[in-house]
Amino acid sequence: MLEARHVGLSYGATRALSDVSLRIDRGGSVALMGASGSGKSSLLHCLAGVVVPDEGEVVVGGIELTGLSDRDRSRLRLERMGVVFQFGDLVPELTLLENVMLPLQLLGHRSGPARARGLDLLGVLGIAELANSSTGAVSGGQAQRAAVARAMIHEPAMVLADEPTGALDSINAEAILDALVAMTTSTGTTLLVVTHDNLVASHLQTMVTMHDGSILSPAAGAPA
Amino acid sequence: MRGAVVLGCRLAIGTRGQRARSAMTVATSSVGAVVLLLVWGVADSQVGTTTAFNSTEVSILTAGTIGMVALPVLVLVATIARLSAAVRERRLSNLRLLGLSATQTRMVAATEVGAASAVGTTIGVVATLALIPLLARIDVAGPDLSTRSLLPPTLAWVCVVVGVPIVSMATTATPQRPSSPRLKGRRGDTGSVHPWRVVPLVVGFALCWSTRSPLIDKSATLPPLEVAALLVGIALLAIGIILVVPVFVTLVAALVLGLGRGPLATLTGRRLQTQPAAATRVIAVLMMGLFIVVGARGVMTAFLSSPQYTAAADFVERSQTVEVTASPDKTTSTADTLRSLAGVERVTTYPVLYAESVESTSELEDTATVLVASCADLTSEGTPIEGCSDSSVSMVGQPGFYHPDPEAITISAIHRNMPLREAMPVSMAGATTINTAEFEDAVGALSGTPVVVIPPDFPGVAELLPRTDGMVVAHAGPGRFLYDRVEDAGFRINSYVDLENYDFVQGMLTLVWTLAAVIISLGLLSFTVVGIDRALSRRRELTSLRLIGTPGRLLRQAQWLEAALPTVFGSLLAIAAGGYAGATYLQLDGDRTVPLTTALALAFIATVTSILLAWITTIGTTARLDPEHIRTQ
Repeated sequence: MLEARHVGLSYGATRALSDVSLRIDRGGSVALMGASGSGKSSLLHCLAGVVVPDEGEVVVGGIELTGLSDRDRSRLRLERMGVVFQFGDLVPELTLLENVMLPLQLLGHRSGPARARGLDLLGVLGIAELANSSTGAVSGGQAQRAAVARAMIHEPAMVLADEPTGALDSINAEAILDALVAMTTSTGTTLLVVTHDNLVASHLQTMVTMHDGSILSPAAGAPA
Repeated sequence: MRGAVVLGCRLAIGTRGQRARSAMTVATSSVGAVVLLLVWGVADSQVGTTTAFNSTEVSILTAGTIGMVALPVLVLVATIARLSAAVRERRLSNLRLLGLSATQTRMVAATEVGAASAVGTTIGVVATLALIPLLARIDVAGPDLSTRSLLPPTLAWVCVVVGVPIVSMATTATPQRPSSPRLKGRRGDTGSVHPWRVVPLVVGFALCWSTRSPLIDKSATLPPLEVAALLVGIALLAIGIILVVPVFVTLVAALVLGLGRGPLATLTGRRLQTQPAAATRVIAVLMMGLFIVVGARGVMTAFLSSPQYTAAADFVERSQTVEVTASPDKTTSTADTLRSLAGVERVTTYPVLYAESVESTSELEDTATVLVASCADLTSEGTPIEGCSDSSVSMVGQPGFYHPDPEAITISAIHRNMPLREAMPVSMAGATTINTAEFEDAVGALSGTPVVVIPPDFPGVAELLPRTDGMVVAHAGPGRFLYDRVEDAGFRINSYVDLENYDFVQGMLTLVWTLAAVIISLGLLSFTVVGIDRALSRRRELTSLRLIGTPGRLLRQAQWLEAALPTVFGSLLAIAAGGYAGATYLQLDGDRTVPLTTALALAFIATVTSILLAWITTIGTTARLDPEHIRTQ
């Protein structure tokens, strides 16, 4: 379960989040929508433990994030979350497979099983033949599939995606989204996608809309 | 074109990051200008101040001194001009999309850096003018050098004022191969290293080796071809150590990836493997500095081991010895007067005789000085002499050099430097040979080192002693006062120590070590700045790694290893190559060995400093995750 309780956040004089509460149950999938500057990315950063909110609490799998150190929040993110960004943000020096294996390696898994698991995931996503390619030698869509594989390889409890299809054409975007939803659904992983695209939102169970740092439409999954 | 120049000037003070880079260019250019101008001025002031070496040698030495500072300074200026090159190239690509031509975009970049460099150079020129009077006051280039004599020549001002900004602009305007995998796009892996990079080092090594051939007569002047081979060889060694770094980095990366396990090895190995040439930019100045310093130390050994210098150094640093000649009736009074002089610790007196060869086959020169002294006398001078015998004549020289022949010489008394007529034949049967070096250690300051030592009770000698001159030797502690005091007492000094040579070599030593400090400092500065810049230019990658939960410690370790491995290797390679170049030079000058202690000490210091500074470069990886930064990236 992923929950924000009365979260508030300011950047200097700018109020980014005001009394935001949201709960996503295990296995749920939520599209966090809103115009640019509405606070959706700020909320994602709070939920991921990247930023500690000024007010309120964030609870991930029963652990209250705001009291943890930066190091502990990083560890929690590594163990329980997968993150996907708009541009994939793979490590440019590593091959696709090495990028995908990275979370398992960081968690102390042996290289052999990590490699096998990475190859499996790349196969599921249709890019196994590119496993040993450098990130600069593949297309944006292929890099984004590898980013999805990286987010899923350690079987996290939740995946947080920030505009994961924002830089892709519609065909690639559809394929990436299908893969992300299919993988999280099959493993019972909670999925939160920040997007401004209704088409993307339509793939997910719940849509939450934000405006000026507040949630406008608390839908199913959000606390009353 | 005017628009491009205006845009370049505007961009130089554009964003906060660009202002920081411009400030660094200003600082580097001003420091570079100051260092170059001051070194040029000090080196130029030495021309004509010594007669110890001919003017050509001094000119070469001066040019070498200026060159060994100019090279790292210009490499540093060029390196700083290339800071954040990837960022700049991305921005210039956008300008191309707007319709600027390739030449115009290069002009924008060159103006952007050149303007900052010109400002820095101007500041450097003003700072130099302010510093020169201070240098004159602290006698940095020796006493008696005025502010005027320390002013660099006109050529220096022109070279620096024009050269420093031009190097900055040329470096910036020269199109670079994309170094970031992101910039490489679909062009595949350009991180491969070409084997030609090894060639200059190998050729340089081979050329230096060729001049070490035993077939070359080291006692004669080296043929021009060998001199050219040596100079080209050393130049190729200097260039080769820089060019070969990527080859090594590739090998180390393969080793790290092959042997290492886990994300640290993967990240470090892949980073090194992807951009093997990038490490060169980080450590080039440091390597050049170490190469030059170790090489120059080797060359200085030639000066330090010359007989003129060692005799003078012994005089100034260990004990002063001054010798005067006295006629037989004045030997005692002369000794007493000398003994009464301030600072004189003891006075010894030796009768001297005149020796003449009577056989053309004798190794003895036609005439020579004979010292009348017992083994006890020689021992009392300081060092017991092996092989000395009070019952036979001793020849001074290298063991086995002389072939004493009975009845080979005659000896006679000397009065007022003239030998008296009655010459007495001396049998050389049973003569022993005294090692020259040991003898010089014992009575080294005596003028015209005697080639024969005869015991006072040798048959026939006693008759000559009342009529022959005496050599009166005054001994004092270390310093340089004894000459003046003996001369002021009215004596004419026979012995001679080349203090001018000593001062010149000491000045050169100070200069070399000062330059060493300057060059190494420039190298370490370059290493730190470029290392941090490289780390900062990876913020996007670091941010994404932090977001997926990668511990900051692991990122710092990866950054540290990535900086430390090439630096430690590069430092050791530069020291080894510099030592080899210096040893080659020394070998041409007479089989002297390069000072290994200096090289080892430098290697240790360079390694430890590299490891510590590599850790400083990790500050680029320590920034906390910032939402604004995530958005920007």
